[in-house]
Amino acid sequence: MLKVLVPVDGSSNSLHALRYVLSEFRRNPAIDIHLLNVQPPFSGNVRRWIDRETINEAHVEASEQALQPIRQMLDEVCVPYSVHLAVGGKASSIAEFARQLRCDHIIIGTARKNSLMRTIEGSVTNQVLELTTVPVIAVAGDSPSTWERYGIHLGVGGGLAWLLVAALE
Amino acid sequence: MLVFSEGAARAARRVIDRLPWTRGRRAGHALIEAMQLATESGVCTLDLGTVHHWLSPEAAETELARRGLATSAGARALLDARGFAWRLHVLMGEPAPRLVELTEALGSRGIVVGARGLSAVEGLLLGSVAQQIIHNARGAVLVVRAPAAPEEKVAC
Repeated sequence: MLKVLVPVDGSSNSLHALRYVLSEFRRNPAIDIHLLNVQPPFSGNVRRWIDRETINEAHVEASEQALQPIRQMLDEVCVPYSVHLAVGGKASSIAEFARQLRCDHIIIGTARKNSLMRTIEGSVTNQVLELTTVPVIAVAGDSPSTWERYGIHLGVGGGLAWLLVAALE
Repeated sequence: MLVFSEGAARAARRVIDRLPWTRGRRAGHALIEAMQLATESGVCTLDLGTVHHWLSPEAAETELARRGLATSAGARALLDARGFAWRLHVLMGEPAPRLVELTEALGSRGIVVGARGLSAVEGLLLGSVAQQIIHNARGAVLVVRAPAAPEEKVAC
């Protein structure tokens, strides 16, 4: 049985990944689906003043909220799955769970970005690829908006032009 | 570089090989993964492809097919040994856009690609075909990194 880890955060990109998993499941029902939601840890100050139980409850609540549309999609088509919650860095948690669960594949939704946007904004998919040797299936998510596509380039170009003008003066 | 896809018949996964097999340990792992997926899906036909730098029309006429056959020799031998049928596509130009175009033209379901595991900055500076494909392809991209083990241990 193919064991797959699907990191989900309720975003449209993770829904794209889930749709891919469902299409694969229809072809081959022998897929063991593990959903993973990664919550960012609270800051040290919060952890110092709030007890651990309350923090854990907050993480579980945030996770349940993020997983709700995903669970609904899977329950509607009666697909079995397991759910995992991690607190920490997204990429490192995904790589660690994939290793611990001995997954065959990680299936992750990814935004369609160009190299500059990836460098500036960072890409969880790229970070996961750096950290794991488990094969990763990247499922194309939504196309970037016009602002995302051109705004960053214009901003970087404008900044460089301004620096050049300032240096010449 | 390996790509798998599914054609109009929605049956065949295709594999595209770009890296010279002798240096293509990443490609080898990607091909093994592609074959595993193909087996699980009951598919027995895979397409191999290879992307090369631009050549003059005269050179392309004689050289392109030869280079494509040479770079994909190992992959084809492995597919033959495992009983997979294959098709070879030899392309010229920038690898990532050409492979994405090809998979779209073939009606691919996805792409299988080997990777070095570069960071975003390294990918930008050194050029990561896998990263370019991931962020430009419209379908699913399976990225396979070779484990850091001696080459002999990963021989098929």
